[in-house]
Amino acid sequence: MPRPPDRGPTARSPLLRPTRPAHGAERLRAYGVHPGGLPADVWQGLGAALPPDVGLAVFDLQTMPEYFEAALTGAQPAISLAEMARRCMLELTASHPPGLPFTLVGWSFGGVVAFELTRRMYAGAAPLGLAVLDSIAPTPDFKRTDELLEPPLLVRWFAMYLAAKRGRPLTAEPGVGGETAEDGLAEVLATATATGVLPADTTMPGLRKLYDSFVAGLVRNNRLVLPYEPGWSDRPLTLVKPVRGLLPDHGLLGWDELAPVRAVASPGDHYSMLFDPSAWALVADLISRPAVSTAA
Amino acid sequence: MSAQVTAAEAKDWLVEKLAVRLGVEQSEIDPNQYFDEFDLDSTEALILAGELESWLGFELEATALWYHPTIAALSEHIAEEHARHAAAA
Repeated sequence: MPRPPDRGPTARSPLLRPTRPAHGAERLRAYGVHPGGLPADVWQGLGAALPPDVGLAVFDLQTMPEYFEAALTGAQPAISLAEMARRCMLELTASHPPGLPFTLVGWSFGGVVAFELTRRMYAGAAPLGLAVLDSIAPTPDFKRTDELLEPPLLVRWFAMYLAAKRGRPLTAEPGVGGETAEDGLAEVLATATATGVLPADTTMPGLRKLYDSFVAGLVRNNRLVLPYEPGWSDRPLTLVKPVRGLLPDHGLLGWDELAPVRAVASPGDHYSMLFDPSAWALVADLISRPAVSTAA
Repeated sequence: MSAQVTAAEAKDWLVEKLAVRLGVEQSEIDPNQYFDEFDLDSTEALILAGELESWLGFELEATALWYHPTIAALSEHIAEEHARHAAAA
């Protein structure tokens, strides 16, 4: 088999990407933790919303080959969540200016990695605040084995994902139903092709491939979370929960079992919140005033 | 599909589908250009991969586009895989 070409997400891509430098003297640096699914460029929306004296850099977890390849192959990830957090911490400590305050923001699974990253830091070197964006806590009540990933829920998430990827609302998303993935996908395909979200000639095998790829990423992340048992942390966090999030009826998404937490509502859904300037403005306000964001 | 798929047939299929997706003439599709250099987002690329597998009648390994990142290279790989599947059937 030929060698993989020097291309693709893992090819010479740094784990930590400077995304928006501060203008003038830097007062605070924000670190985003991005798990993939959407391009890490979406964090430029946060960069645009931050005050000029706050810098932004983003950990793109997909640049870790073991993480990236597990979604491609469907195999058990050859890396642990703790190791992923450790690598982020090494990058952070190697490049972060001494004495500059910083704060962490993780979206989705990235929020769990950010939580572990925060836990690993000594008191004197800890972030001023941690915000998790529609992340589900790694607690027993919220962990899911592969068998417990129910098709109706997955198809609803997939519809949100598809709309975000295509940059157009998929109006039928809340009504996606059916007991099987095939039923739900048929409904998604009909709506997506009728509304121009997908080309009119898109076929079910094509959509099914996209769905399978989407689910493979979720399964990988779930498998990373399953053995992870962090225990209680006294460091407060803020849960930013979009109106149409992953689990809109599940309160604090389990985070109250792990840390002092407060929730802040944002517009959008799990994916569209990353494209919504008003959602990013809310996050920017939270993290650029960390004394407020860390209040329990 | 049961008949042997040749590399030329796979290439023609890919060129035709890509041209339709991109809204260009087939003659404008360079088989030696990297897939990620076409103006095709990842959603469209995966949908195309699913339609390709449906046409072939078997799944390609998830890393196929990674190891064979052009139409020309993937077409050769598809022909080899098709022959392997046919032999195993």
